[in-house]
Amino acid sequence: MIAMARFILLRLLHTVLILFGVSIVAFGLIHLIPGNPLDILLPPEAPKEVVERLKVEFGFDKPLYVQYLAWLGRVLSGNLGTSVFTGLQVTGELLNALGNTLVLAVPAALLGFSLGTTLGTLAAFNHGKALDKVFSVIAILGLSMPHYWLGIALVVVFAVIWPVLPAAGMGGTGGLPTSWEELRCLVLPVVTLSMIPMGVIGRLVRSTVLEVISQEFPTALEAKGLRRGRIVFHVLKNAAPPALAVMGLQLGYLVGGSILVETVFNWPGSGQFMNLAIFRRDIPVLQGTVVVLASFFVLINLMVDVVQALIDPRMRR
Amino acid sequence: MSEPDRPTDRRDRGGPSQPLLLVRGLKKHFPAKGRLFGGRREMVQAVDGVSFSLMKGTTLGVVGESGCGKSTTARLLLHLIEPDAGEIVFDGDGVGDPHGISVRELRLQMQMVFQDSYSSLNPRATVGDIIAFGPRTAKGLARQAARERAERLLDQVGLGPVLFARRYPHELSGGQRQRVNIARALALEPRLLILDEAVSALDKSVEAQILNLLALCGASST
Amino acid sequence: MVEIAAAQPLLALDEPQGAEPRSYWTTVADRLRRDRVTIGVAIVLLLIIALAIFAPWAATHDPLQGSVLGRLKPVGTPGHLLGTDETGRDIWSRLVYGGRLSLICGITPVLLATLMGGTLGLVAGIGSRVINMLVMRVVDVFYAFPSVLLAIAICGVIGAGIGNTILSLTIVFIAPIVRVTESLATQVKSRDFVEAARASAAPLPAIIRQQILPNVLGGMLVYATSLVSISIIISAGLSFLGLGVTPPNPEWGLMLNALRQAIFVNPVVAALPGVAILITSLCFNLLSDGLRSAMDIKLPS
Repeated sequence: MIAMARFILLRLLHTVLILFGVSIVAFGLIHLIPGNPLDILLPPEAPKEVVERLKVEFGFDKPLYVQYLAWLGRVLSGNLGTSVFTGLQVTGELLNALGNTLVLAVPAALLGFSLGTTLGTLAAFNHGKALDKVFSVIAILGLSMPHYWLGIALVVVFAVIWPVLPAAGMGGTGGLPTSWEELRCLVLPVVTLSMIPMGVIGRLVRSTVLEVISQEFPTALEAKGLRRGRIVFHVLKNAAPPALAVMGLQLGYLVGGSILVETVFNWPGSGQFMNLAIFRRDIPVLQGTVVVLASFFVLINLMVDVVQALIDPRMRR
Repeated sequence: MSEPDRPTDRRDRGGPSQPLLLVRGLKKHFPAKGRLFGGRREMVQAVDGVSFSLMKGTTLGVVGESGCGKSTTARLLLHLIEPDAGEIVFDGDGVGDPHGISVRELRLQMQMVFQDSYSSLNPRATVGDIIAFGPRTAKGLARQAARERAERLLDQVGLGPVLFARRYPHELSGGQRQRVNIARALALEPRLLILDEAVSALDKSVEAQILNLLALCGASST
Repeated sequence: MVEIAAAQPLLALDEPQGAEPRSYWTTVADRLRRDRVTIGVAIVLLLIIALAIFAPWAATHDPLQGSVLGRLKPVGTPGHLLGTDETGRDIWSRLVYGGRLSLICGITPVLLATLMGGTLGLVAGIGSRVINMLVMRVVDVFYAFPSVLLAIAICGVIGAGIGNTILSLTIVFIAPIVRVTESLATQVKSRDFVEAARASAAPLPAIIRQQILPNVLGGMLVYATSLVSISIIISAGLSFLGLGVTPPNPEWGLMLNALRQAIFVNPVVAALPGVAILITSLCFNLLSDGLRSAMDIKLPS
């Protein structure tokens, strides 16, 4: 028990340090832009006094680390700044957008994981036979597919050639789907997003289960007379830890990397939010989004590590 | 077989009465997998105060049950693991002393034949290269000279150089690999050879061959 | 000089197993030769690369020359094997020329990242605990960003263009490569033959070069190949978002974006660039798998 607590403590410490580093990178991004950050915000003909005044107002005249600390302080208190473009608070907008992304990402994750696990397990138990080969092909296709292209292809098939589902948009006003129409809008993007997780998890589950099967204990279980179903259950329990870790990672990727699919489907999620910010050079929004998305990813990893440690005693160091 | 007059090795420093190797109070502790912070750390006393002396021209056998620290001691002698305490004196010179000899100089005079013949050979290198590695890199021998020495040694341990020099470890049997290990250890012309259970992984018949080989080695060096 | 007194040919009865010396790499090459899937994939890849290199000869039209009247012609139109795009440019020619940019943006970052990340990973794996911690903690921070997010953020900040795309992807890939290399190096470092090499008083650079490196390269190669497949997808994705290659340069991701409007008019043509990306990425993935199986030899002991 104590070992567990110490492990979690260490991991927490580690995570805090990483979050610190992440914030530095996110903050430092804008200073990668050649030139004065202010030049982006103002038209070039702006009078000098205005430029100087804004410099002071935004704090650009202070040394870098002071700016960083000030920004960090604001972020930690929940204030991610104000959008240069819309003038709205970043935090509110971002949370909305993030919510929309989650509406996509979570079902996609669930779909991908369950499909991947089922197919992977089936393939492992039928090692060498046709089913295994077919599955391997599907999995590796899922992995190598540019998912944004898949989205387009699906739209072509299901919204153009055979107009059954909407081609884009979220329908309604955002948030959880409340109508049949909104659910229909979900289908294509969720399927698109689920491809890569399915491929990754499927392959991982297949190879892990194969490894477990090749050990002696499943045969021992069979000799003891356990029914097939129970044996599968035990095998899966052993194969679970690495799969869970990767699932967590995949969920993080889905949220952080959803921008491409969101662009295809015109889905107002955090990815599109960031996309807009990039094109408008809306620095505060960009910084805030990057920090939040990356932190989300880090926290998911932390949770995954903790859950893994709970399940698999070998993981605790 | 008549024994030639033992020539004195020109590296000899103190004459026949000075011990070749003198070990005093060697200690090594490993922390057991325990608490991360604070608490009492449990230590495994792998080697706790080992002392002995080895005279020139003699053989010292260290026996003990498995896990008693023989391998660790062997590694400590070569400074492959850092001792926690104790001193090692080689032919009158302290190892690691400012006035003594460095670990590197020690290793040029003291070599070891490892127990696991398979994992102690680089799977990506030929037998010839493995044996020549020491002389080439540590002694700066030219490639041709190092290769010739390797082939001579292969011959001496009974592996025809023509057949074996270009082979890879995975193509050899256990006994053959152990001979390669011995050849490799001899390549640097050490004054002291440490054998860490060199034959325990081999069949009896092969073991007999290797022991004969080692006896010959011992009989003709200082 | 240690002389073993003349004698006993105890030893002539020993023969090595096998007819000819076979190094690890020869064995790997042999296994690859017999792996038909990987051979097939390699041929396809070589074809794609050849088409890209010899684009001026393989293309049928000028990839930048459009024609207002000939827009969005379907597949199979005489003269335009794969149809034309939204400004009338020949798709086949643009695909072939696009291969150059897509491949360059896909392969170069991985190459650069492997060089830099591999070195860093080796240093971290072989060096002291302090060095290891320093390097790995910094790597952890970069690893904390999902790759697509980081690539987009960097490109979004430094701007579009081929050079910037390559730069941003290189930065993104360094972290995972360092991790993999460090893990490999640490494993190899603790193996017996490395200890034996240390025991022979060899200087560190020689140990690294002759003992550690050859045993680490295989794993690195497998990983780098699989990274290329991801790199192609992400770099095309960057162009798709307008952050990568700029128009009117032909590049698969860019083409995909430009043709999006066309899906209602000529869906097949609109999907073609994606097929190119898919096939290339798939091939690199399969290649990586093939290499991994070939190198996973349980050598007889």
